[in-house]
Amino acid sequence: MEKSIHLAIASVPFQQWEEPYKETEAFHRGTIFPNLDKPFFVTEDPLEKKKECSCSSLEENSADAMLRQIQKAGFFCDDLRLYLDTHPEDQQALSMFKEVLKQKKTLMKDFALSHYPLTVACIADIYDENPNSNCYCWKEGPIPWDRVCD
Amino acid sequence: MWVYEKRLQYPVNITKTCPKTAQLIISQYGGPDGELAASLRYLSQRYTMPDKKVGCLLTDIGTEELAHMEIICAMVYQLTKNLTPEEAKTAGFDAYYIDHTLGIWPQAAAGIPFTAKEFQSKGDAITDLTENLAAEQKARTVYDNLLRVIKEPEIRDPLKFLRAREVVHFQRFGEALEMTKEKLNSKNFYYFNPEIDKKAVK
Repeated sequence: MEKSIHLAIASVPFQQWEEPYKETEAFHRGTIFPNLDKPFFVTEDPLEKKKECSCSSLEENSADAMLRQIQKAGFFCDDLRLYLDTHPEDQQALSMFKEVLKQKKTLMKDFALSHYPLTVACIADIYDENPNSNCYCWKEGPIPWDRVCD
Repeated sequence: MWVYEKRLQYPVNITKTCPKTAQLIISQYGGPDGELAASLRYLSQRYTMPDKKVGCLLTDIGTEELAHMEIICAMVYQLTKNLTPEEAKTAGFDAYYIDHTLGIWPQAAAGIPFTAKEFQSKGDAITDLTENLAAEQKARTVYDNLLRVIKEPEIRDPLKFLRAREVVHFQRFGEALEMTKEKLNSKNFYYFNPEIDKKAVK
């Protein structure tokens, strides 16, 4: 942008909207935006076969597969929200945000009802479905920082 | 107020104990360019930001850095899981082991404790946003260095994710600086402090 050319102060051009990566690719690239995807090539072994996404080995509808879906939708929301923070007028980004946020909410509710709650709001979803539930805290399900295989 | 989500932002599944690698990665928890310093930097700076939108960005990035801190801690935890005192000694992890056993404690790779001296909250929007641009670059360099010395794909994968986030955050802080500049006098951005001399801000 021409207006940002000034002496004696840092200038970074505003990002222009572009079609983002799909959820799975965005998650593994660490950004939803192809133009901000700038990996550190020098340490990559060119002979190493491009790793299959570990998500594909997760059993369908298993807790792990559902959780991975939540992580992907959650990450898409996280990255899109930062874009909206500096591009509040971008209607395309906003409508996409509404869609992904809704998707994340549904996924989290489904996960709470079939496995365990990830947030206090998810505990409320469980009570709506089953008022006699004894669920109240973090003890349900594995702790998030443990190895998956343990 | 914060709400916890009981999941990592990006999965960590390290199957092989390696205290030496834990000792390197712990720097991104409590080191000079680590995630804890990043989070506290942004969450401290936001209160006096003159542009509300920049305050929102600092809240969102400061919150994401907390999630990154959790990823780093999960990595250190998994890399030291079930470690015996003998293994700690052979791997050069013994000094940490004596002070903290297998507890997760914020320190730099060289053993220096976490300190607020690593970051600034200067009370001047231009100064703070310029600090944040540098902070994201410094953290990226640390991830570059970690990726240079660590070969295991299961350890590299979350590190690559975290490195990518530094690049995105740099872009956002650059845009936040542009948003701040728009409200100042472009003939002299330094004519006053936008956080104190509020009457002068457009």
